[in-house]
Amino acid sequence: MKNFKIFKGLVRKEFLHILRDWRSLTMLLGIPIVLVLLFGSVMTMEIKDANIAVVDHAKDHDSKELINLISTSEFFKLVKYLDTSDEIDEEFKKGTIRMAFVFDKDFGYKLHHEGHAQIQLIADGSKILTSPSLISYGKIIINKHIASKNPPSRAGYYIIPTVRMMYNKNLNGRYMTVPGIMSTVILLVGALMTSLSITKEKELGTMELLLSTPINRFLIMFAKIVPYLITSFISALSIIWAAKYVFEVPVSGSMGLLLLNTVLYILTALALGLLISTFANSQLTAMMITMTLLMLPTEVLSGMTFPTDSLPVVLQWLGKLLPSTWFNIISKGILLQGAKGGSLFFETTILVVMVMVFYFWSVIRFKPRLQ
Amino acid sequence: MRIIRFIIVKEFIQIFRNPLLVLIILSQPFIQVLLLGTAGGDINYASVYVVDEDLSSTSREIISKMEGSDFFDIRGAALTMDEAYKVMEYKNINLIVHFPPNFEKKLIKEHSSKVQLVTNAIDAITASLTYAYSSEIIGAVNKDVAIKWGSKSLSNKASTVSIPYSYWYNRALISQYIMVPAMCVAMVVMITILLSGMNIVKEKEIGTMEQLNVTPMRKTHFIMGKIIPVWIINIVLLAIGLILSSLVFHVPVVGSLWLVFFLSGVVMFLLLAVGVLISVISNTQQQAMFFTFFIIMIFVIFGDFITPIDNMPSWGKAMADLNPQAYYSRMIHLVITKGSGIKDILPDLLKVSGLTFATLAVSLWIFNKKD
Amino acid sequence: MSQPEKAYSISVENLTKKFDDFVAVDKITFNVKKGEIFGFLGANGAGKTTAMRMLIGVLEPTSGKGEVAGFDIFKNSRKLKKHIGYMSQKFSLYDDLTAKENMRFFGGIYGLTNKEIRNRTKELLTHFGMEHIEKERVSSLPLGWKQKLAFCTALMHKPDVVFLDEPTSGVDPSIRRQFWEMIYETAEGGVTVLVTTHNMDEAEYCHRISMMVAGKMITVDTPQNLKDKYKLETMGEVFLHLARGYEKEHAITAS
Repeated sequence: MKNFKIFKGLVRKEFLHILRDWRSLTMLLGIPIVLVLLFGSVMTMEIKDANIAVVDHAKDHDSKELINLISTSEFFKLVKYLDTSDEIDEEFKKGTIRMAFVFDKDFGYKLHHEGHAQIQLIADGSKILTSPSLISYGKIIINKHIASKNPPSRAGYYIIPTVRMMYNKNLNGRYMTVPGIMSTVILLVGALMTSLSITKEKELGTMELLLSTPINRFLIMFAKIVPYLITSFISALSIIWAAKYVFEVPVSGSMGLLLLNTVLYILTALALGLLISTFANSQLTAMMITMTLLMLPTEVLSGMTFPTDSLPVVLQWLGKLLPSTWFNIISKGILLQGAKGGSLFFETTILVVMVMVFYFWSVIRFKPRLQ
Repeated sequence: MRIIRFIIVKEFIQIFRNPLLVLIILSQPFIQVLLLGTAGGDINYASVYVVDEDLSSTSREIISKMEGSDFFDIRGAALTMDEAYKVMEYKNINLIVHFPPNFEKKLIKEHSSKVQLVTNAIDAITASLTYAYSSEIIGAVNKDVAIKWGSKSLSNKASTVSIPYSYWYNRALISQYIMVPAMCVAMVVMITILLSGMNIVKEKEIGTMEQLNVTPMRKTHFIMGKIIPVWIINIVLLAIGLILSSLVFHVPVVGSLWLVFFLSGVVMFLLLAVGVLISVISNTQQQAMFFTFFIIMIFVIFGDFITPIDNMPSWGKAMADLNPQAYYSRMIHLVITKGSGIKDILPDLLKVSGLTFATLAVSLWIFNKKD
Repeated sequence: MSQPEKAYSISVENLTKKFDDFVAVDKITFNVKKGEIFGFLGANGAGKTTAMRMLIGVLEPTSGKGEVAGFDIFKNSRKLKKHIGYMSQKFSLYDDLTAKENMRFFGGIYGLTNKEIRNRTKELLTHFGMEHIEKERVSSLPLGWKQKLAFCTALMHKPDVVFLDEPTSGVDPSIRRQFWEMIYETAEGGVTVLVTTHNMDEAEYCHRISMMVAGKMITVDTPQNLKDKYKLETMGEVFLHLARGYEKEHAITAS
């Protein structure tokens, strides 16, 4: 009972501390949702009206027909006719085009009389994220057109692929990026808040003072993170709201299960911040450690933008050390695949283990130094 | 000038007095460039499960062609679709290829037959690439089948177009050639803003700012003395990053290396101006931390790093026009990958200088308004 | 730079500072002679620090006149800053630098040459018996030594006037006495010292003191004169007497 009273007093003190600095409070609650809204709105891998140039050495009926088809497709927008292939380089360097189609001389003649013609596609190799898709779309349009020109005959054999896009019928890129940015933002804001505020107390010496009192250290540490647990949970709710109603990410599984896992994930973030604060010797180092170890790594390694399977093995293993990697699997599983608690048992267990390790390790490291 | 020198010396003494900070700063090229640079932005991999209820030569041919490609990794086979769906949910398989019973018989009899492709579309990019590559393989099998079973004279009549494609500036589409310079850019952006913003606010928080205000030192001298060390540190980090990129990743530098450093030096002043702005609007390091985190995240989101600006809606492109990281990344790729000269990047450099002056003007305006 | 010889190091007339409706400093008038130790006495919030911040050129007065070390505090705040030293209430040297590095840095900021910095550092540290802490990091020094070091640093550029804001708050009495010895030695060298305090014992050490209550300067005189005038034993009693009297008077006029 006495412990509980002390605990309540500590939590109240921390809360007052947060509430007093309205500027920080606004940012604490506002930044996550603003980042998710911005990121979700602009992050798309869908290709629409990509600027292209055409070098038409043939200038015949067939090439013109195909160019017309390409430029009226939803993927491409013809912005330039070039005379020679050399000019493509210039356009790429100016950034006016993303791809070029080069039609051979006598394209139509060769197609009809020799049964074989050539179109060259040139994309910018420095845009590794989008160029392969551009080439694929170009090929699909050309192949479809040529196939439709060939007379239907009993001679050909056609295997027709029928496609079913699971979990994301319209290939909406946000289904992957919105849960991804959510996990990044929750992790970083949580870890930054705890690591900085505790390092500040270390700088001021109040932490040492608190820890030298006979109050249980586990209790003190927990009291330090409870207020951030609450503020983080509020901003997580706002993010989930945005995911559901602004970006129309379906919630196929149980919302309760998602919220439970979110709380668990927030705890992981806060405990990680706590651990970082035990290593940091100033607020600047706390921020440097948190930002440099978490920001780009979560964005690159935890499946937010690149599928984890396509990473080199070493990075896949490093990714597994990040809480966000596991939360990404959990949140996507619940939101998109309607996963039940059972199928996520392993991932959830890992997060629980991480919380325990981070938390106990920090408490041990915070042993007040005896003089 | 003498006063600025005294401040610079003091800053360096303070940094080197903190071995942890030095360690964190110097480890950046190794964490952000060496490690994360190996993360591919390219999707080169899709895991496949096969449900073959036909077990014919045609179905086997498609499967073996998939096995032969680098892109597909056949993880296993299931007897029923239900079983395969379960695997997709639990193990995040990218693709299920389903051959229905009598697939081949139907193809011979009716000249067309369907194969079902079920893709895991949570990751929309991988899904669309998976579809494109499987279509290519099926298209090739179509041709083989036509040659095997069709009468020669008829199959000759179908005209075909070959579509060779190439990626300029990075023929083999080696992702590291692009990712490694991009990581150098991301590192410089992050470290410059982190070190400058927090460092100035620290003087406010510990009270030395009050002492300095009583000295005849000009504010501009103070700011210069604070940011020049950060500038020097980042030039060193960039040099280490570029050495790693050449020694470990063999990234070819087509343009001038001097130009790379020159433009980096110019962009760094813009980033430092952003740091100064952050320090002017914050009273505590905690507030500075929030602003810094927010700004860096925004720069990454609109920085063409993991989110292609090309695919953004027009307001996103407008935001990118205000983003130092977007300019930096574009110029670096122009010089390193495409070999552009000063003439090509001059418009961007001018815009960066304009933004630098605008940011500094706003900072000074707020600075003076406050007192 | 040669200054015309002035009768007073600090002369202030009707100096006022308003923050919106709140009058923090209300028409204060006083003069301080060269080499004098002048005390600002008052409770927390009486306006001592605000008055001092106007005199050191970091806060612009609302109205009134003021001259410090021969410079107008309205027009010449940058030139003024070259000729004054300041030691703030909150300790404000760099913890992670050594004593010498701190002095070197502040000397440099005031535009001293390297030779001047070297000589002056040695001179001050020897003079006050602090040579042994030269290479110590400030963070490892006890509070009293930190305060003494801050005082030395404020004297680096040979200022005409030194402003000390609650210089001895939190240090033990023996160090406080040593600190006042330093102040006396400095004043004997011709430097004017303006010191704020809410410690009444300390007020006894000043040549002259002014008492501030609610932004107003209610009296200026030597400690002995004040004690004689009111026939009281200590400055603490004088202060209480005056402050109560002032409040009573105000309560009457207000009602």
